[in-house]
Amino acid sequence: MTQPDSQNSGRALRRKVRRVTIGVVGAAALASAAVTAGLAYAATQGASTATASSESSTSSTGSSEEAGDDAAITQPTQTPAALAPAAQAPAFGSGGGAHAQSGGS
Amino acid sequence: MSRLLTGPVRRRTATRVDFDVWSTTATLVVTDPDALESAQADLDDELAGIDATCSRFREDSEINQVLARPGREVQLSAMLNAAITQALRVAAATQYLVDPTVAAAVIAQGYDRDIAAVVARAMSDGDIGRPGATTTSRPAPGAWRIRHDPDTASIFVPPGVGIDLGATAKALAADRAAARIAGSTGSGVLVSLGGDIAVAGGPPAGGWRVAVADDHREGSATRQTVSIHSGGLATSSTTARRWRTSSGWVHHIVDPRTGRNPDACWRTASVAAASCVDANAAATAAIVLGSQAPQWLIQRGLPALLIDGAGDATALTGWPTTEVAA
Repeated sequence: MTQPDSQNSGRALRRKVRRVTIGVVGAAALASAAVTAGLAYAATQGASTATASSESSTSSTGSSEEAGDDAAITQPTQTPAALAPAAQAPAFGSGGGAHAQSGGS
Repeated sequence: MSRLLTGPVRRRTATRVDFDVWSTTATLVVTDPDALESAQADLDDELAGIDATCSRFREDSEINQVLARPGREVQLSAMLNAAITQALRVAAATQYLVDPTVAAAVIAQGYDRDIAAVVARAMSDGDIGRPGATTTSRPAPGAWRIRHDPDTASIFVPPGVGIDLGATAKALAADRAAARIAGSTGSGVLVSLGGDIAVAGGPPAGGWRVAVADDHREGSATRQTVSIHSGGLATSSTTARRWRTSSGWVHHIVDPRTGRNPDACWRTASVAAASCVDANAAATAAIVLGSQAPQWLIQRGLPALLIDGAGDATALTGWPTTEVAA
């Protein structure tokens, strides 16, 4: 009485696991493509000879002595944010004295 | 805010005021003379807020209160929440080349109090910092260890992890003050805090003219004058905030990967970006990266001027090349 239901439940569970697996693999592929596209886009913003950043895939465990129990936590390999470029590059300044001076402080 | 935080006014005109703060110079310029008084009040308020929340030199600052409770979730004020958010964003965006957990390494180099006191102590003693600090320094723990939720304004700092907001707080103060002043007065405004510059509102004709130099103080030799219309421009330099220790001369820029000053490559890096925080982060990252800095800046579309130890200039990503002094 319960055997058919168990078989049905097993098949349903396997289908569900398969769907979830496909979903996870697909999401990972999409994420990978997005990162690749992002790096490519960033590279095109500069010189055409620029290559994808190697820093974004570096890993470091930091100082274990200072970090206590969290010493095993490693640096994330993805870059979740970016520094925003200026809306327009600086131009040669003319027409009077400077409003301010930028230098080390 | 009381004027106790800031020093005496050095210069005042109808549209400008210069004064000392945080052992450096602040400059406030507005396009509308009627806005200056209100603008200065807004700037003073922002400086006081940043000082009270972010200063590692004040025992009563909020960040020091947070660090006194390691391993626990702590609620943050709105301003410290904003400062932590920016510091962690910058850390991630620079692949942790500009990392607030570098605090212990900075202190190990002798930078354990206001820079004016550090330099004064070095001049009187001729020997500060932990002996051999540059050989015993360790990498920063890494900002990725900090758990921070900006939505709930809560933070968890693991034991043994320090936070130094010095790399971002000054620039954040400039950004916040400029935006607040432009919003409240409608005037175009430039705020410079030790050469970390933010502008907001309508710029003057031809843009805001900024002289670029190794040192932000007036009177020091300038490289060139550029103009910006929005965002920020910041300069990091190894020629400023430096002092002698038992291990030799050191400066305030520390490579989080080693806990030491980066190898000498660029003495000064100036960067323009959409905000002063981002410009300052990129300039500091450039000093840390050394010879890899040009490619890093180009990839991110950040206009920059790099000056090497011999004084030779490298202009990148649209930074004007005319009139760059040798």
